[in-house]
Amino acid sequence: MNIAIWIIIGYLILCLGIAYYSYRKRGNSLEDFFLGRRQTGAFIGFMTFSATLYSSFMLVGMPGFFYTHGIGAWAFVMFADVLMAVLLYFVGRKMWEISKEKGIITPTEFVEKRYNRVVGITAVVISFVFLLPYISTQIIGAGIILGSVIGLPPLVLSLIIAIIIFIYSELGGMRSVSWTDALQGSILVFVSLVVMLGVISHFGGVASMFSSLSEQTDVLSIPGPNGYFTLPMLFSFFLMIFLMPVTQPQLSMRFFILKDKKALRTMMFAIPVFAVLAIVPTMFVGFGARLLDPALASGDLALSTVLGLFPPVIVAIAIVGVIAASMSTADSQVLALSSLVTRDLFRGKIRTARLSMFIIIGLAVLIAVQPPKLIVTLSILSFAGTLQLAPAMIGGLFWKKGNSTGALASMLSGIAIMVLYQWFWTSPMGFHPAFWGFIAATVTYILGSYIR
Amino acid sequence: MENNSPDCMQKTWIAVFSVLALLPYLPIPFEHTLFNMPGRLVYWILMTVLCLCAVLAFTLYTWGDFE
Repeated sequence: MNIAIWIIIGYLILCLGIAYYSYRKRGNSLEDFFLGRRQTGAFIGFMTFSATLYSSFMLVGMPGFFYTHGIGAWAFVMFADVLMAVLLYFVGRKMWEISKEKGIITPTEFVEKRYNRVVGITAVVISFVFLLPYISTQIIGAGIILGSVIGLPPLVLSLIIAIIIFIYSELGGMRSVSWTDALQGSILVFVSLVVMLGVISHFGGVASMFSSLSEQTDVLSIPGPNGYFTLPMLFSFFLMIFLMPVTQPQLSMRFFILKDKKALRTMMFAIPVFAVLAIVPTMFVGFGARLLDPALASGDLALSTVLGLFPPVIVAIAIVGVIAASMSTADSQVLALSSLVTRDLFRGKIRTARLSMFIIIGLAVLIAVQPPKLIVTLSILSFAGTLQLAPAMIGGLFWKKGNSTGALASMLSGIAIMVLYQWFWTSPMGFHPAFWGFIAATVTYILGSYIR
Repeated sequence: MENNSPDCMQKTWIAVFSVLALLPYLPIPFEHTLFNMPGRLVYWILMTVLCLCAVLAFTLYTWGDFE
């Protein structure tokens, strides 16, 4: 058995070990299971937030974006992730206070308490529809990359990954997920930096690398070789990603788990630094692959192309990094969706939580049987769909006049406009369909709240 | 459920960050290169540094609000 397999097995055993340790500290209440008894400190809070935010998309999809679409990929995520810290002050602090005061466990529970049950259930359904495919793509992504080393069919390996996620999420709930996230986030940054330094060194420095790239002028300008990254399109992505801590339950719940508000303060600066450390390397990986082979079948192959420059140990660690990134996002999403089903749909207890986790992972694996062509596509649709929850969530926190009529109209119209522009009409002015959905959701939230 | 609108100083910060969020996506011409990187990328790198500084300043300014 080669060293890569031993390193991967070692990593998976470590995850299960952490889960077992956290299992011994677990209580039986829903608050304990889904929020780790609200006792998470600044470091674990920041690591679990970042690891949940950065999926395998960061190590596989982002280099692919730089490879395929050029420098525009920088503005695709960077500014959203750096400025996201501001949301921790305006939204995170307030959500933490409300959650603690009212005993709220899920963000959709906040929606229900602020508006009514119909609006709450609508938010649950939207979250479910747009997050489940994302979980599936994470599991597929991990299975594919693991398959390149182990030689088993990706679907079998995806199933193994899903079972491991299930075991450690089931064992320790949020405590287990956040501790393993800390491990997985550390691996992600380590891998990113090592691969970046290796690529820069291989091409003789940053200046030399960009000098070699200068003949490929299309990747060094916007909108890039395929004309995809126009400025309006990039701004649309900014909105989708920037508002993720408000719109995606697995991130909102990271506010609820913190033991005090001081943890948020530490996270405010740590999250942007983590973002820079994670995103900058993807540019060098993408451009490195472009220099090594400008005719790859898919941008998703950029990382594996660059890994050809490294010794087997580094390749193995990089593969663990991709698997870790997938697992850290998928486990948090499974736990978040399970909390939505348990708490908001069925008003259930721990048994419902365990059963719903099993069903959610099962559904994600079923979707994985028909894997999508590009991991990124479904990921982006996930951001786009949940973006339509933002006006009702933010309005619910800050605008007294906002009411259930406005909130329901906002969510439904946002989704409807996004779907129409995504599949039936051409989105005007070069913006992503989600942008127009968001505008519609905002306008209808205000109008609906004033009408009734 | 209680709702609190942002106060005047918070609104000023929101305005600052809104401008910072928009600046990278405006078609501002920037021709300076650095390590042979194209002007647009250099502009974005500078904007990233500016955003990091703004977030640090904001964190320090709001330090007491988290007590």
